[in-house]
Amino acid sequence: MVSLHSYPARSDGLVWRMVDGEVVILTTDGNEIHTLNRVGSAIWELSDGMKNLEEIASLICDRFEVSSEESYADVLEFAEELSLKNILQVKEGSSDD
Amino acid sequence: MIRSPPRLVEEVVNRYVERCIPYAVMFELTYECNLKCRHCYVTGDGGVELSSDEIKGILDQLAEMGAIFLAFTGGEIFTREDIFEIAWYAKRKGFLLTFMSNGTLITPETIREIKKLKPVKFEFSLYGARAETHDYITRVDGSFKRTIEAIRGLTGDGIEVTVKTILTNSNIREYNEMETLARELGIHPRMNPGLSPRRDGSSEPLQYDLSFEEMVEYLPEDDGDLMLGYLSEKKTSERFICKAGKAGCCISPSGIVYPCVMMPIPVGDLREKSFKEIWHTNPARELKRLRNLRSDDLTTCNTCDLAPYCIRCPGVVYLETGDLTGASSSACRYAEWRRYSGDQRDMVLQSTGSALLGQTVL
Ligand code: SF4
Repeated sequence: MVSLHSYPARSDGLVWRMVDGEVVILTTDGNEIHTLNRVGSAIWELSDGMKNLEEIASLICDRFEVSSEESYADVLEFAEELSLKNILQVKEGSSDD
Repeated sequence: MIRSPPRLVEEVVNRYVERCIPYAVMFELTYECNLKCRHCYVTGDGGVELSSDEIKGILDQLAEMGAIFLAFTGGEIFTREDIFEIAWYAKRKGFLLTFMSNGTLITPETIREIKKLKPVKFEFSLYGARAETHDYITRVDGSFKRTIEAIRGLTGDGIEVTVKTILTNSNIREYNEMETLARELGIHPRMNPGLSPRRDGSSEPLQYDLSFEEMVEYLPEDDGDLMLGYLSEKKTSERFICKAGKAGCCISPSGIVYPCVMMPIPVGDLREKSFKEIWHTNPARELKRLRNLRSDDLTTCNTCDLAPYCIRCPGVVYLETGDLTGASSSACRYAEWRRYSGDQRDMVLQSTGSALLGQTVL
C-alpha cells in the first residue's frame, strides 16, 4: 500500500534518459518503452530510495508552483501507477535503513 | 503522468529526430581487423585510436545528450584489449548495447564475459554456408569454423544473436543452405545484397555484387526481409530520408563524428570539440545540409516508377555518387528485381487462384 511515508526507488534493470526535460524509460531488452511528463520526470529523478513521497511532494510543490494537495495527489498517483508496472519499487523505509 | 501506448517507440524516435538528439550511435572502436574481406567498405582515416578514457568521456557526453542504443563495431572490436572495460562502462551508463563482430577472436572466456555483460544484441558476419566460401571471402583459412563456434557459444542465453550476410556473386548459390544453417544454429539470418563502394571511393567491392540475372535466379520471391521495401507501409518520401545526422550518428576510432557509417562526411572531431558543440551548438555546414534535405530534393527518385519497390539508402547513394540526392545504381537493380519478383508472384497467385476456382466449379 503506497502512502506519503513510502520511499520510492527506481527499479534496477531499466535504462532511462532525460530528453528535453522528459524522461524516456526502456526495459533492458529494449522491448518496452514509457515516457513521463514533466512533473512525472521530476518525481522520477527524486525517486532515489532516500526521500519519502511527502518530501518529494514538497519539492514538487516548490518547483512547479502547485498546491500541496495537488502535489500529494500527483506523487501518490505516480508511485501507484509505476509500482504496478514494476518500474518503481516502493518501500516503507529509506534505502539507507 | 506515464504513457506507454503501443506506437510510443515511433513517437519517441520521432521526437529524437525532430530535436536532433542521437538515439542510436554506432561507435567504431577500431579499424584493426584480423580478416581481409573482399567486399569490405571500411578504410581507415589515419587517425590515432581513442584511449579507453577518451571513449568513456565520449560515452558520458552521449548519455547526457540522451543516446540510448549504442553499437560497437569496427574493424573487429575484439582486437581491442580494453573492449570489456569499455563495454562495462557503457552498460553502467545505461546504454542498450549491440556488439558487431566477425566472431573469430572469441574464446570460451570471452563468451563467459559477454554472457555476464548481456548486450541486447550480438551481430555476427557470416559469408557462406560452407567453409570454403566464407574463407574465400574473408581470405583467412579457418575463419568459418571459428565464427560458427562463437555463434554456437552465444546462442540460447537471452542475448539476441543475429547473423548478417551480404549476398555476393560468391555466396548466392548457397542461399538455401545458409537458411538451413541459420535454422540449425537457432538464429535469424539477415541476408541481403548490400554491397557498396569503399569509403575512399574505390569501387573494388562492386565486382562481387549480384547481377539482376543472379537475383532472379537465386533470390526467393517470398522472403519478407528481401521484399521489405515492396511490402513496406511507409510512403517512399518517408523511406528515402533517413535518421542519419539527426537521431543517428557514427563515431570513428579516432573520434571523428560522421552522420552514419555509410556517410564518410566528417562533421567534427571529439578531440577538439564536445559532442554537444558538434551536434547542436555549432553543427557543420554539411550536417545542416543533410538535416535540411527533403524528399523534394531527390529529383530522380521522386519521379521514378520503381520507387515503391526501392529501399534507397542515402549513405550508399553518397558512396556511389559522392552526392546525397541522386539515385543508387545498386538500389535501382534491387528495386527492379523486387518489381519483377512481385509481378511473377502475382502471376503465380492468379493462376493458382483460377485453377482452384476451376476445381470448385467442377
Ligand atoms: S530505383 Fe533508383 S532511381 Fe528509383 S527510387 Fe530507387 S534509387 Fe531512385
